[in-house]
Amino acid sequence: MTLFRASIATLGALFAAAGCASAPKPTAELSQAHSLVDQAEQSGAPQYASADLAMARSKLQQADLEAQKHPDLSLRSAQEASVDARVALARTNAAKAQVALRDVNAATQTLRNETDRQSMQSEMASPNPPATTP
Amino acid sequence: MVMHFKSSLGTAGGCALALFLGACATTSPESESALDQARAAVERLQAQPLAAQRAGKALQDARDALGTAEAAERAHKPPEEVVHLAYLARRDADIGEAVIAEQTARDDMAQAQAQRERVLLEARDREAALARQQALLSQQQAQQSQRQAQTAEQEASDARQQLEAMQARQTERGMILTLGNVLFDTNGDTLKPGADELVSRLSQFLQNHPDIKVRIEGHTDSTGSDSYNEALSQRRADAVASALENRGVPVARIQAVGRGKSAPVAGNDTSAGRQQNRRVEIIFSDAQGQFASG
Repeated sequence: MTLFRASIATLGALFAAAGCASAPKPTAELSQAHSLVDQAEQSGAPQYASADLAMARSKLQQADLEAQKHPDLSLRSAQEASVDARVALARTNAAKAQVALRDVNAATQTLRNETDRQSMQSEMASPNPPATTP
Repeated sequence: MVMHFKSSLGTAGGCALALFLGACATTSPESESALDQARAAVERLQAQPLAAQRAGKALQDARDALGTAEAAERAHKPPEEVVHLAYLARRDADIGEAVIAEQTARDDMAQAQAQRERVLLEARDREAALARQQALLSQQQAQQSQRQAQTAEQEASDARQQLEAMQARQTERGMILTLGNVLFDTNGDTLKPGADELVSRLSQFLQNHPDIKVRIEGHTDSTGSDSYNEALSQRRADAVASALENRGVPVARIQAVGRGKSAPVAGNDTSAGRQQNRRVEIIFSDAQGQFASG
């Protein structure tokens, strides 16, 4: 009985491997890919990593289309969509950190220029600053 | 997926499956190229300084994914499967690069913020120092102008006292010293020797107060013609001016005017009054060289 069941399962598996079809729909991978693409979209990827995001979207669309007829192709597309979305997220985070860094440095430079100009003006106004004790 | 089925295989199907796998597996140029790209990406990531510290997890993921892809290749999995796994490895390496870039920016951010704090502090210090310097400067200026005012006041007071000692009097035309008729011969325009002491004190006074100017006015009584009196009074004024010049008072500080009988100080109907009217007046300017407009 047990042996018989095992043989049925084996036969099914053989068909699966040979035809590369009839695997179950990759529900978990699809939902993970959707969630990662959403996350990337909301984190600013459209601005900072649009190419990666576009790839992720396109592969996700393909994964959805193939979910029923070609579950194995759908699985690959979903996994690639996920990794593309994660690249988009990582690049977005890097770009944001770099922009923030540039902003702080620019503000510092502006302040420094201002102070330099002020001190130059004050030196011109009083070429011989008075001694500290009158 | 295939591995999973293989583990649950009964002995009966083992050979058959091996045949199927063999049929699917070929080494293809696409999978080789995809693997090469993935290897290069992982190596690039590893070569980044501090890759392990800054993106340890991403680096590990990329290595694992590359291992999986290479294992699939060795197991002669279908090329599209190998290409897919190699792609995942390459993209994991991309994530690692981005994580390093982000971490580097964050590390630099700490320094940039510290730098900004320093510059802010410097700016505040500099402004405070500037304000202190300004305050000190205006305090010094105030003290200086106060000292100058005191000095000027002291000088004016000294000058007035010295003039009063010479019998000058305060009038609305300023301090005036009147040289009486006795210093000149009747109808004469030469100073008598008795005037020497007064002229000497006067010139000494003018040397001590170099900003004070004098106007010397000659006056007569009403006896005689206008032209005679004006000429006489001018000559007497000139005589006093010359005496001062001879003692070193610059000519620019002296005006000499003959006013004849135009400005009597007493009636001309008595001899005492006429005597008072025959006089030379020395009018003193203030310390700025200005005469009172009296």
